[in-house]
Amino acid sequence: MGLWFELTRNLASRDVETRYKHSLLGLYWAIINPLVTAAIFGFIFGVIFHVKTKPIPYVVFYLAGLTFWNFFANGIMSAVGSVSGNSALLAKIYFPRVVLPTASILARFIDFLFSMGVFIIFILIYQVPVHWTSLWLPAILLIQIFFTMGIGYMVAALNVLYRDMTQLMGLLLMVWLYFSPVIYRLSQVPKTLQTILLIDPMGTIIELERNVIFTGHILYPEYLWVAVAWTGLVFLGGLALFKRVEPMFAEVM
Amino acid sequence: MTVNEESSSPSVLSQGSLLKKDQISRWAWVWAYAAIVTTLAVVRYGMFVSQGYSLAGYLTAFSLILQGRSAALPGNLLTHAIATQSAWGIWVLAPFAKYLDLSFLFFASAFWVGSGSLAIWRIGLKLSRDRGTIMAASILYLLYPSMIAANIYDFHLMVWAAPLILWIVSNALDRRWLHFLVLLVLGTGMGVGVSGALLLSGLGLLLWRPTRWFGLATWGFTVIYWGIAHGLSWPWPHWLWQGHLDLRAALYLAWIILPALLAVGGMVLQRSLYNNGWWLPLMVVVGFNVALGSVSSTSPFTDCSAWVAPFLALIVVFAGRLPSRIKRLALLWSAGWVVLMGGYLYHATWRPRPTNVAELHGALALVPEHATLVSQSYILPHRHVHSDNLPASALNLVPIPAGTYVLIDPSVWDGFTPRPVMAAWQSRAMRVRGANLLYHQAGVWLFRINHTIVPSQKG
Repeated sequence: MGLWFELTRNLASRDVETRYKHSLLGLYWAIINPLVTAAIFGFIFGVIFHVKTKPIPYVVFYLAGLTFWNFFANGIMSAVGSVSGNSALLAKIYFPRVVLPTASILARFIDFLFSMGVFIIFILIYQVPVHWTSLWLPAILLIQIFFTMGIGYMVAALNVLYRDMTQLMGLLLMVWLYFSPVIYRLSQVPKTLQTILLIDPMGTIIELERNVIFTGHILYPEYLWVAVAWTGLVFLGGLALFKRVEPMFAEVM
Repeated sequence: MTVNEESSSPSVLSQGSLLKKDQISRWAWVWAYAAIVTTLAVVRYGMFVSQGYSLAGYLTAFSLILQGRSAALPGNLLTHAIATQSAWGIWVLAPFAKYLDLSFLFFASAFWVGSGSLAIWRIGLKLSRDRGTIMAASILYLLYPSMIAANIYDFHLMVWAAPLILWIVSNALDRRWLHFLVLLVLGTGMGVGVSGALLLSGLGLLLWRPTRWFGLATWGFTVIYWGIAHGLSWPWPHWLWQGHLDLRAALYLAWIILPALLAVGGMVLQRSLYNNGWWLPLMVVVGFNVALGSVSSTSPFTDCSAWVAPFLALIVVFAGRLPSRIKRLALLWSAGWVVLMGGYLYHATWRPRPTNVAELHGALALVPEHATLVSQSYILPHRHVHSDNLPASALNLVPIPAGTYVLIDPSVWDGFTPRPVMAAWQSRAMRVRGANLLYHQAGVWLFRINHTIVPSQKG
């Protein structure tokens, strides 16, 4: 198990290094991406459409949602090509293949930590009160990590068989973003739609993350355990699918 | 980077990964079950769709325990539920329900029930059964209506006894005495009602030679523990004694006749299915429910029938390798139940669901946190673990003290409150004297009663 962790850690740090090694701005990209996206959404929804996010300033509101969402979306997009993009490595040595998507997601977690730094700076600039319940954030993040890993395992395995997974996931994540309460408040949508959005674990997770930071209480606590249950299923289902497809990797690649 | 070259021998690797793959898949089934049932429960809860009757009783008991008060509820309300039956498990569950939300109860129930399928797999593998037979037994267990219907927006420790039976049998087969004894002790936390489940699983173990000692241990433990705790004064023999045998009512019900026909069909097709000791505990459960003589007790959609499911699964898994026609019959049986359950849930709960949810929330917001509230079963759990609750049917049964809040929505019948009782509450709400009307919108009434109502003064 220790070797497994070491391998994952090494692959994750290699991923981060190679991603930013020859780029001009390096790790700053991890900060620039959420900032630009938040600025665009802030301009469109805050300035043009006057969407209400009070009492949270709209820049902080969008940054909060997008920081957590980007970790999920980037984690999945990295995981998609993690196995198919390492065919040379797979041909040379034996190691548990599941390490590859896990390491990709871990690498995006390092990016996420930088984005969190920016998010905290904006909270300080706008002097938004933060509640002690933010201490629950690591527990909610853990659920998010397991959910991301579950989907990551699925798409990484399927991408070996069907290379259109990258395009499909790009499209799917775009739709998923708008069907999750990332850039709008859940309380702004009709009651029936709220229920549907909360059954999606990412909807609940994003809502929980924003709630524990800014409101100090969980608005929809009953959906927490729904999210936990679906996360467990997605993680184990993803792992089971990965294990099932794993013997075909060498043959296909 | 480390290379695991030594372990890459194809045979060792493939065996190891196959075993692991199977284990992951089985756990994924449990989580899938938990996810689906928890989601259904939470959605029903959010829409105030009935029932939640026992859940309301448990939440009240949790609240009383956390306030350091006795959890014994007045009169014979929710007799099957609460601490008067030494269910120490509710002391353990109370803080979880309070601080992790009541939906934790939905999740924990669904997950624990789902884990019973893991026990079936262990039993099946121990008995060298093929994958299809084990799968058929698991499906029979998981899709048996009371395992789902009694868990969707409700809570019963009686249902928790079903996977307990399977885990007890699994550990007896594995000859794991410590695990086995821990499970017996856990059974005591589910209340004296569950002593019946322990005795019945002990009966099945006694009838099979390799597990005879485990059967004796189960009987010995159950009789001694509950003998000390209750002086052999157990509630279920009393219920049985009070019940009246109404075979006509039971036999008219499709849910008794159809499954019996299917079971007989299965036995005719496959001899090993009836040459099996687990029929006896199953017959005792069904016989007991029929003897109680009520629709609720024979219904496969209530917690009363929960113990049928594990014994049914044990019959199948102990019967030996089954031909595919029997497996298809098992699938047909389960599919039939799911369709029936869908119809039942639609007819009994979905169709008469309240449309005035916003008003119900509005009225509930006016009830102080620690006040006693009388209401319908589907409304009470929305107070979470906060205060004393009484079902609306309490009007017939126990004194209701002055200062009690009453919230009623006569537009929806919760399946428990007699209609004359609802009418009596409504007329009390409309009286100028005797009650303070606090809220009345979209058919939702909230009032506070000014003087104690005793059963003889009802209405």
